[in-house]
Amino acid sequence: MAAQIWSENPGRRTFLGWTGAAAAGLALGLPRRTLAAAAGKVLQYAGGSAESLTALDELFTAKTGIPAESWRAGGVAVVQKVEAEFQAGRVLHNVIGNTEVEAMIRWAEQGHLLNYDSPEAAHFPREFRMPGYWVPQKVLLNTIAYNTGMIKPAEAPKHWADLMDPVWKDKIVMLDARASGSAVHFVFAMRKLLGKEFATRMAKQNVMLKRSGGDVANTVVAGERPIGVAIQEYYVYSRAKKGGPIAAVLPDEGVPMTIYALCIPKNGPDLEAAKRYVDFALGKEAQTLWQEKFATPVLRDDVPPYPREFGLRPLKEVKIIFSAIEDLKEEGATKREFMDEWKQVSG
Amino acid sequence: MEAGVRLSTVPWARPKWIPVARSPLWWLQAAVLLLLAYLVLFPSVVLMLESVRDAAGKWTLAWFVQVYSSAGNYQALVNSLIVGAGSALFATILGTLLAWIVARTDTPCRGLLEIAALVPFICPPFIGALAWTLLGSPNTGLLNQWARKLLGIERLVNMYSLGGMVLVIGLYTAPFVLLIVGGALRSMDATMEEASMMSGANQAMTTAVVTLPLVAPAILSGAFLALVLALEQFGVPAVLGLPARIPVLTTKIWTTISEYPPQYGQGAALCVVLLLLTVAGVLLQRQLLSRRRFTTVTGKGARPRLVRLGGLRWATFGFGLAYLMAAMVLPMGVLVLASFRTIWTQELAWSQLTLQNYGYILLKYPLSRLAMTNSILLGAGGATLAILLAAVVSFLNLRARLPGHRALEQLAMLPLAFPGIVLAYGMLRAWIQPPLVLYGTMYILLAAYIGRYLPYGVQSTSSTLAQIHPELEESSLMSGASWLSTFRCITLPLLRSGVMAGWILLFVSFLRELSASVLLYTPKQVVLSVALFDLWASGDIGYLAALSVLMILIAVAALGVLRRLRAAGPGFDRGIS
Repeated sequence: MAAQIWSENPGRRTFLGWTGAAAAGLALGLPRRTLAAAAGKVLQYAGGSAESLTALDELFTAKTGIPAESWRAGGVAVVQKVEAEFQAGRVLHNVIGNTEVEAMIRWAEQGHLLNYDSPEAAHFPREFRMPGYWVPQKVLLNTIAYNTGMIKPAEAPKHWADLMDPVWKDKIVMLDARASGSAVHFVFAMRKLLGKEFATRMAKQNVMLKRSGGDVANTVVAGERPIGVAIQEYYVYSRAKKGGPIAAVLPDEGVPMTIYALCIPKNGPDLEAAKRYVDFALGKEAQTLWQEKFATPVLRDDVPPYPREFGLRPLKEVKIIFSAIEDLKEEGATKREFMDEWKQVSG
Repeated sequence: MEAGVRLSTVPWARPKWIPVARSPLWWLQAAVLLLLAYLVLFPSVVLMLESVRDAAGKWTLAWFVQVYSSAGNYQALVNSLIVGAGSALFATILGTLLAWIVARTDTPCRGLLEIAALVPFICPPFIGALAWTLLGSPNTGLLNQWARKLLGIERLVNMYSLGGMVLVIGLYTAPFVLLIVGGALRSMDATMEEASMMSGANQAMTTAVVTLPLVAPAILSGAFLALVLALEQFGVPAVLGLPARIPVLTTKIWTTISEYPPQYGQGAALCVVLLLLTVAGVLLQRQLLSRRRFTTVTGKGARPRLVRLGGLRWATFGFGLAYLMAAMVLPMGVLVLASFRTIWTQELAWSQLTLQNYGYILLKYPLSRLAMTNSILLGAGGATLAILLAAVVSFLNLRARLPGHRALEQLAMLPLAFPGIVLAYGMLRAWIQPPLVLYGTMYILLAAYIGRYLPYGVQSTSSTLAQIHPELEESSLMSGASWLSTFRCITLPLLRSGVMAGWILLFVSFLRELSASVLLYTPKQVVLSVALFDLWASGDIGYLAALSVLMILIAVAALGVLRRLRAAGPGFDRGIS
């Protein structure tokens, strides 16, 4: 091969130029990127949709001049990354936004979190926050969603137990509790409501599992599986707004509510910027944005009620089950047990 | 085309110009050995130890017992074997047929069909799998919809299945078989075929009785390579297997340590089992390659004649075209379509068409910009460092040949047997703790990429160096130049063709690496493949499709440069999982 291409080789200068430039780029670029680690800016590790996080970050930067970025992942992955950084002693982030509040309670107890009471915290109900450590930025309701082009509203499942009906076999797509903190809470609540057999009964329905509410919503909208379970309402709302054939059902017997809270790691960089971000995210403007633009309900007391569209309704009209702080503590204590059951069916 | 260049069989003795002792080369070799030990051996040892020690550091087999007393894990092992064997069989048949069509028949437009060899470099298997979910979802996949409308068939394919995984992995692994078998078919001695024809055998009989047995070792070698590639595949089973609750070993390893709390001991035990399977595959493949006596691929003798297929040549052309359709045209077409839609519904409406996905990915989504910068920086810088290291390894192994050079070669080639996710697992556990914490820095990805792909760089530089007689370097040294100036002024320039080819192929590989990156990255080190993986997980189809299309365009541009350099060739026959 060498002889064949010998005469058509690039010049030595070209080659050395390329490699030299690349090596110099690496030598100069890498350390700077690494050492820059969020000096004077916000780096949030967060669950949720990329679009909504980007919008809030941009608004924060526009208001304060402080650059903000969010790295998005599933709730479980966020906990993993955060703990890996705690373990390595190299905390790169300075804000955590996540549904795994049970982990936040543990981090607070282990001394990993900054003790900070945002002045905005007083606007949030006491039973859904941990004073000094975390406040719910938003809440997620785990709904049933259905494809309105394939299922008439009257025929859609109305209760959680309806999902076990053989008529829905091979028709359900569900959020995987191995990937999403919201789904972990959902499995905990359903196990309390429907019994320990919940996981195995869902497996018998041959559910398809997806790793985010967005993907569950896509699968319903495309019609691949007409019923979506544990899907958060903002995914229903956003797809429906784009013209997708999807609507939600909020069963009367109650809906599990996942708290999405904000906290600050004690050893993160630039904690002042982090505090300002938390204050801003809990403030009325950002809270209104969450609810109006991204259809995510918030608990703040002075924000207008949630819209009544696509089967969704204001939070006050929804019965919330198994979602208070005491329930979350029980969830933390029994998590290994019910997640082991879940793993048996999730493959 | 070989998976492992057998450097030790290069016939040169150690040249006399190398002083055996007290040479700076000793120190260089020692330093390279140490570096390789840190990159490859240290993570492997940490992985092995973690699989047999408990949290308190005591010896235990509990992790293996736990892992294989679980039906789910046992099922993952069985599924891995099914997917591995099925994909290998499919890829071998497909790759061998394509190789025969392209290399030995008068099929029209063979130049076009040769693009098949580049398929996995243009469209990585992970992106292929994503596209195939849009094409082959059981109810709403486009192919199934068309089959229902046009043929009245309820379901043509179901990609969320073992068969779906076999199909996609097979499609994207077949080109590696094509390269291996095509090389053997082209360079085989034609006199045996001619003798067969002159003895009265017809074309079909000659092909079956003479040609096939002659290239059988190459086919088997390709089959084992395909098996190893399928076993280490992560992206395809993640996309097609996880939603259908069909685990394989790689996805099981990933879920075991990506869930909370991570089960590192169990993960390590799963890694060791997967490693045993891939090591067996690599050893068998190398064993076959070493049996040169079974082949007559000598480069001498008459060039094989093309088989005249008559009317059948259009059928073979159709077969090649069907492959390109399935592996490239349809997947890329559906991705382009998705990248211009706001939402993916069964019915396409004009109101769904948009440029917003590209706008978001290019201008707004911070991750994609960060990922592009990181990937290009890591790709260019990493490929440079990797290829320089490879050149030094080749030089020490083929030229200096100091005592210990075999250990150097074996260490450099060791990652061939490591699935990306297994090597990354070892690296994660080894480099997250003192003395040298690489986790959380870009260097962990840099080290992982170099460690994982060094064998391919070494293959590229060694195969070039092996064809250059050492007398030029000897003259330089005898004229009083130091070894360093000799390496810099003589060896490196002589190697530049191999180095350039290796550099570009490493660059493309680094750009698309997923299975190691997905374990090792932290949010500041997001790379393109991880950004894609995240968009897949979050269900942002439009953005995902737009970023996939951009990634394919970058790969096509890099391969365009490669083609212009006419340096595409041996030394890079394993894919990117």
